[in-house]
Amino acid sequence: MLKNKEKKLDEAKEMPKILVDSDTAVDLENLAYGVYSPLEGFMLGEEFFSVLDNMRLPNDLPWTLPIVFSVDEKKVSLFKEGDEVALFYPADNPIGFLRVEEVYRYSKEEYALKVFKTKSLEHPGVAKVYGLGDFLVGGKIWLVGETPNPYKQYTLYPAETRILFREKGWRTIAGFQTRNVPHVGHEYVQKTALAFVDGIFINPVIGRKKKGDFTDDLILEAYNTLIKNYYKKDTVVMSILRYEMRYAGPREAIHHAIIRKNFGCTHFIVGRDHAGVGNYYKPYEAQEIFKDFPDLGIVPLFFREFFYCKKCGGIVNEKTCPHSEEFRFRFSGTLIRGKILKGEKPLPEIMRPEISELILSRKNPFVG
Amino acid sequence: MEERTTIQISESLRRRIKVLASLRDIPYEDLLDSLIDVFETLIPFKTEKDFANFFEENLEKFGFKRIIEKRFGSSPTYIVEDIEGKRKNVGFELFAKDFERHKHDLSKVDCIVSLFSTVDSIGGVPVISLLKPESAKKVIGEFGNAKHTTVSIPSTLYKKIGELIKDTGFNSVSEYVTFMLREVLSRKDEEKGHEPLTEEDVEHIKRKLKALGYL
Repeated sequence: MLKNKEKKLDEAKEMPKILVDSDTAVDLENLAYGVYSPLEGFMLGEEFFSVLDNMRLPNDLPWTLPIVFSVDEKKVSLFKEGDEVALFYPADNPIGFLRVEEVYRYSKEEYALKVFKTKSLEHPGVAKVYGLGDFLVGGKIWLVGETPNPYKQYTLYPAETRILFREKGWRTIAGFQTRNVPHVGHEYVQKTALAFVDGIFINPVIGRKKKGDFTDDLILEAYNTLIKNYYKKDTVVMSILRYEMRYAGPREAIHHAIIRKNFGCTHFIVGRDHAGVGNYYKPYEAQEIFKDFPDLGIVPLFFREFFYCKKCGGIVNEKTCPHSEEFRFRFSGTLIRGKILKGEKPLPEIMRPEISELILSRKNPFVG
Repeated sequence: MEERTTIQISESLRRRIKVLASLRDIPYEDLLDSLIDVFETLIPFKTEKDFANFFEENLEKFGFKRIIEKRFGSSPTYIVEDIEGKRKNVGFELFAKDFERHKHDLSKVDCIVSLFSTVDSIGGVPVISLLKPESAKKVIGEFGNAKHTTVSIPSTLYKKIGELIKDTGFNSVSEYVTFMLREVLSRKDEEKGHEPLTEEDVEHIKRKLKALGYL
């Protein structure tokens, strides 16, 4: 947060003003609070193209997703390189400033193909890219305000989680990314990781999601319920990540790991089809990509898909269960959703009864 | 003012000098002066004899096993055995083009060894040259190309790594070396840590964490 905020706000009266969307506003906050460290602003052309081509910043540091500020032809005429512009979200709320260091053009097709490996508009990330303005504006940012945040009590920034982990005496922390209510498979993965580390950092993504995802409210309440009933005190911390999912599969898995490193995690859990959507990525592609990043500074913990086996009488995976498919219950999001939509509780082996009851008590558990 | 003199050069050479001089907007004389500077600075061998010593010390790198006969002043300059055990007659020049300038007989040599050549062969005779136009382009290319550059490692180490990475998923020694170096450097970065917060900042954060029930 800028220290001489009042002075800057006064100067802002003379600056070009741009109303940004909620995703850009959240990116601005993430840049300012070190969630996207080492970035200090929206990407310059050299950084953007280096990320597309090499999955690294020009200084060779791993970075896989563009963090960009796009504008259309009308907005780009409001300023020139060297100017400072005031960013607003919503219209009456100045949230920050951008020093325009570079305005550059880019190819949306190239962006989509390199980041998402497809240019299909069915892919939500691609659709978002094709909806961006034709110009990207790069430069350092300063935050002066806050975007509306209904989950302030769950919002911690990297400097805060690092102190929190230190105060708890945790030396090893596994980050867990989620955008779902927890089923028993999630819990099993978290607890397996917990056998090796001091604490688990559950970090649900809160922000624009795709239709059919669980609502943010429900995800948070479900985790609170799970932690209260099934976790040992002082082994788990939950705070949210305000962030727009890109659904970029493997590239986004690396991005998520970097973010959790910034929060102070030493390990990061990567499961099946991490950050994927549809069938655009292979089930374990998001794990395979980590071999290209020995310098991430966070240790990935790879998990194969867990399932419940009636014959084993517990949660197992392909490596540990010798039995055939007929004995197995899969933790399928689609099946869980199907049950809930019919007003039925998923099996207790699949979802904790307290969580099932909570979901069924909601009129609209899913994003419409 | 230094005494002036006249040199006779061909019209085609005069044209080449004129183009280069006009590109730099300098007189012919200054151009020749700077070309001689480049030559004297970059070429460590002033005479054919200096280069011959280097050649004899690095015979294998030129593809030869041993010298059978040495005949300085006539052609072929060397009779050598190549790495396949074949006898070869070698013409030897600082600049490959000098072979023709000296009016040597191309039919008497199997190859020409030179310090510098702009061509791969002269009259069908292959030229083995230490410096080629590509060498200069490579140096400049490496300097200007941020994506990759060349690091020299001992050949034995290169071979060992090549053996080590078989069936590991690494496609080349370069890929493996890049992986290892990035890993080492990232450990160094971790040691540096994050920017320290002030005591006041830390206390403020602790108060917030307590208020939210995290501590």
